[in-house]
Amino acid sequence: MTEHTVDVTIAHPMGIHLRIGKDVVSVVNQFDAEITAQNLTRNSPVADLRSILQIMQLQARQGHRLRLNATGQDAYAAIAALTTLFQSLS
Amino acid sequence: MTDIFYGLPASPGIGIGTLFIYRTHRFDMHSVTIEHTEKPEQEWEQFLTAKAQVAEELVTLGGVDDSLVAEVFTAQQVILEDHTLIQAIEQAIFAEKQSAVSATHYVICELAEIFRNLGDDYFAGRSVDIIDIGHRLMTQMGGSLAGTQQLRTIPAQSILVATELIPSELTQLPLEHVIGIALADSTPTAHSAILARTLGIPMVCTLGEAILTLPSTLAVLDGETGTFLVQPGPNELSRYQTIQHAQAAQLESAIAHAQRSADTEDGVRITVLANINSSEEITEVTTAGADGVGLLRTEYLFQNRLTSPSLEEQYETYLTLAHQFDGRRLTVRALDAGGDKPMQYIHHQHEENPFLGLRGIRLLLDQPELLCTQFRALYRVAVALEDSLEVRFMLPMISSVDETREARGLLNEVVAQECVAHPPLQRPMQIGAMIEVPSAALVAHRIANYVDFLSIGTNDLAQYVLATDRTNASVAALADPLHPAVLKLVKLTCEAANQAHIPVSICGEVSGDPHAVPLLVGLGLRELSVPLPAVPLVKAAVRTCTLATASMLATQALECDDAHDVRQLLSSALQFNG
Repeated sequence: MTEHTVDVTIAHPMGIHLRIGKDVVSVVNQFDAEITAQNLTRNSPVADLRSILQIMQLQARQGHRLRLNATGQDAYAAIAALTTLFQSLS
Repeated sequence: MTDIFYGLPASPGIGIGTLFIYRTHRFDMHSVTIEHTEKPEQEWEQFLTAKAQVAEELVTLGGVDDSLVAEVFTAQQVILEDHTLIQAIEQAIFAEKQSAVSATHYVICELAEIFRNLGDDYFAGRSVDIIDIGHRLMTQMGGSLAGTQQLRTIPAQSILVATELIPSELTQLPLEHVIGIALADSTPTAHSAILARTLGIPMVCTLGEAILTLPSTLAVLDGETGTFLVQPGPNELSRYQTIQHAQAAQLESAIAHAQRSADTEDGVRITVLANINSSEEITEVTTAGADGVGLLRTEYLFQNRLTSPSLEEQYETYLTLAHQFDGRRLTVRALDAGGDKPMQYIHHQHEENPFLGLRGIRLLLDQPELLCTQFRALYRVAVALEDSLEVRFMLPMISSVDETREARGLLNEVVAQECVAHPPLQRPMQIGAMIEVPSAALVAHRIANYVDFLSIGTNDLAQYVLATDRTNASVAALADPLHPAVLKLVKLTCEAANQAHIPVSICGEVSGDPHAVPLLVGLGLRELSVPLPAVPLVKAAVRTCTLATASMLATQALECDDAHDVRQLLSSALQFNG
């Protein structure tokens, strides 16, 4: 079982709002790994990124640091895809 | 007797009509009647069928065009498929043997409540999307979310009253019948507020629960100032009718000229700033025509969390806000917290009367780390953006010279520490005192020695001067900021600022009332900070007055017996001019 963790900073001016949350879920659904995120800036609980309702509860705004964690065969690929998504949002 | 309520303006315009009480409870799980079932499999099937039908419905709604509104429904499709939601409903059906309708109702309300309590306005506003989905699901299953009803039967000339409205309810509204929406909860950034602005229906949010028990009577809803007037007297009514008529014609021209400066007829420049609550609003400040931000409230950053935001987090947040803002001046109010809005990480003693207790600057001086960290973060933003933005900082609830001196001392120390690491600002950061306690107004000339500007907060000032809680419906109407006693303190504060050669501004609902603008100018104000939707009309009102008539109006107002007479004076002045 592979586990991979990275921290990313949210660049989008509106933060991870509803419509971006929707894109996150669709990226995560392409992978088998368990993928979670925690908003380090807000010291939030850990959210399952397959759930838009949990993503919204991260209350992630621009400049917030998120810790992404993936566990599973495709953990690295999943984190890479998510990092690319977050980088493209600005 | 007339009742006055104050809320957050969400969509501009004035509505005069009869109240239609639509929904009086929040969607919380305590309102759900639990029904049980013997056949959970059947109930689960029923839920899955309903879910598939709603999914289809949302695809249709989201596919209409590519507008912001359509995107709302596309995003709702993802919520509908969310396993957090579905598993909770499955659990309620199989483990708790609830019927499909009851399980859906309960889970939706529970989730909505979690969201409603989130500290960030935007995310809290998403509770309405969750309720909207619940509403759709339950309609498919032949049930209904308690309190939702057909909206098509609303009588003509109605002001709709509810806790909150969900987008699907708004899209059902018979637009020709609804002339205003008054909500006890909700926020100006909720999807329903966006829709109301698109539809051109005046809306005011956060008016408080008391509006839900009002009788079906005549009322006035002012979407510019956030004022909700129930059973207005004949004078009030004719005043608003005059404004409404004038506004219909003026609003268009005001918006067209919003980008022009606001100069009186005889050429005195009045700075019109905006009051802002969220990062969503800050992007609209210059579009609305405001010269900057006169009041940025920061409480939302501090609420609903276990630890206070760190220096780094605050720096990042303010820097981001500043980047989204293309105006020149950003005035930030220090955290204005107290026992009435407790925060988990602040140890609040029980207070019999929180409004007279440890709040505002008193709390900040009791816990100076809160004050200094917030100021340091803002100071660093001011240093980082020195060429493009002027950041100002103001202290809430100052009631004595002593507090001002102590706070200023703490902030000066922070500046001195920062100057070790960074080059000092070319122009020192302006620190101001809010004048919203009568004692502060009375010694404003002494307070002025320790600050760089004064800002009059009329909402609290009126409450403290008139010994009136404006959220207590039986006395709220007494807390009128146009009362001559309040106006005298405003004048005194302006004189103190002039003597000390420092600027003075005013924020609070009264400054957003275009009617009151000449009076405020006459009292000596040259800077007005108003709710965002009111900016164009306030600027237009400035352009129609002269300093001479404004001063005369102020002199007359100060001689009035009560607020009622002042308002009458303003009405007749308007008729005389117009």
